Amino acid sequence: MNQQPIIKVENLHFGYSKKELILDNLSMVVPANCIFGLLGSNGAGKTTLLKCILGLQKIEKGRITLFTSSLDENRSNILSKTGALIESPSLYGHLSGFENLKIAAVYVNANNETINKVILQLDMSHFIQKKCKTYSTGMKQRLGIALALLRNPELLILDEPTNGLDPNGIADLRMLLKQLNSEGITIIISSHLLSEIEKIASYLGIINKGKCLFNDAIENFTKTEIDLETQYLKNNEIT
Amino acid sequence: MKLLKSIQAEWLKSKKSIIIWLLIFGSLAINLVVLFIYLFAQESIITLYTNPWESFIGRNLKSFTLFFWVPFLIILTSAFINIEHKANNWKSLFTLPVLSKTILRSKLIILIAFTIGVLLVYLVSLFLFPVIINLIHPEYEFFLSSVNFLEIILAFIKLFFLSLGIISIQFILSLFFKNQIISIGIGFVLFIIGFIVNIQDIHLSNYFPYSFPSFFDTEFVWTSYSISIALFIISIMFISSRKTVVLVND
Repeated sequence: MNQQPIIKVENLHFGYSKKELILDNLSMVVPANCIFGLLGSNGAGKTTLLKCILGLQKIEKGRITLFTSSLDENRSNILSKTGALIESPSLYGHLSGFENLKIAAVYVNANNETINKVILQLDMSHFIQKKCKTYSTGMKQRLGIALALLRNPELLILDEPTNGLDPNGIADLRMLLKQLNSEGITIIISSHLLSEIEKIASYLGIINKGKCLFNDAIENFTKTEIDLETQYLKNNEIT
Repeated sequence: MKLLKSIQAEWLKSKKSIIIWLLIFGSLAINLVVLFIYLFAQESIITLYTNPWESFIGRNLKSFTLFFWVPFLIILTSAFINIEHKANNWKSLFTLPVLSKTILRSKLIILIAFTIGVLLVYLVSLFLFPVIINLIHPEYEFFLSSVNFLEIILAFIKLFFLSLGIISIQFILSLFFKNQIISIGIGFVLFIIGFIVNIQDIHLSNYFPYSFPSFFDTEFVWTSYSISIALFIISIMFISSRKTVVLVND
């Protein structure tokens, strides 16, 4: 695996108010071409970190580098290579899934061929012409990922993408992410579920209360005699 | 190029939404009411005016500018921005490889285009509806009287410029407040204040944007036009100052 970092977070501080820091001197590295599991309990700062990485939150202190430059220096180029699904999928309910894809395609210069490719890739043909407001959570989630894939990303950031999916949906998503990763896409997937991350990630970042507890290959985490879950719980207790 | 693409995307989002129905309603509502009055109460109207065009256009524009236009702009702007709030889509928009100022500018441009479109359709129907009325009730004698088209077109251009301030204020309010009741509510309070100011002190109303549309057909007041255009420029500068950080509390 190529260990060149695709994302480098250095000494990041962020808080919604001055009194309480959500991210506290956090540093983390995401190597290229891996599936990076961002693990942390609810409220640990996972979504905030991903929002900071994508420039959705203004960082107060620290530096974030994506593809060797910061968003401020090279925003358009970086975001043209980065697909993201943060929190729930953002869809126009009055339009069909296909029309949602069309709109996103206009922004990222994707053609009909690319749209059809992602429709097939995510197996959405049977519902893509229906209005989004009629979609189930799983359908919305798939469309959200399809929207992120439209720009042929080199980096895909998915914030708790399995939320609301049934076991079949989760298994399908896992297969899809592995397939995308084998095509060279670096994937960051956040979750509070250890079992989920364990099955898919090759590299791990654990955060708790805004601090980074672990950031290394997953095999280095499990080298100890105790299992991953015990180790994770132990790490969370430390802080 | 990115601005054009962004405008295209805004159009795709709007064309199957409530916005299109609002635009049709805004263009034709007042005219249809007046048409209805002309078709069913013709005797009282004929005796009141000597020139039927003056009567038709006068009745129409008075209702349109005094009671309809400002509330319509408030609702249109809020409904248009609400497409994004409802889809919870700001975070996705601002992670596109397009600057957020480009996205916001394209929204303002298409909103202005919608406003011009409504005024144009309304203007055309203002000249067309009397023809329909005359075909059903020739006793109105529209075809025997003349109308100063240029004067009316000029009045509409003035109305457009006087509306820019309201559009700008409502645009920024709608961006900030996810709950559209708040932006519409503030807009309506300002509209009522404007209405009262208009009745109480005509000079003071020259400085209050929500009063401007009501005196589009009076003499040219530089102050009002300057305020309206200044507010528009300020709103463009405001949205252009946004870089990568989300404008609204999403």
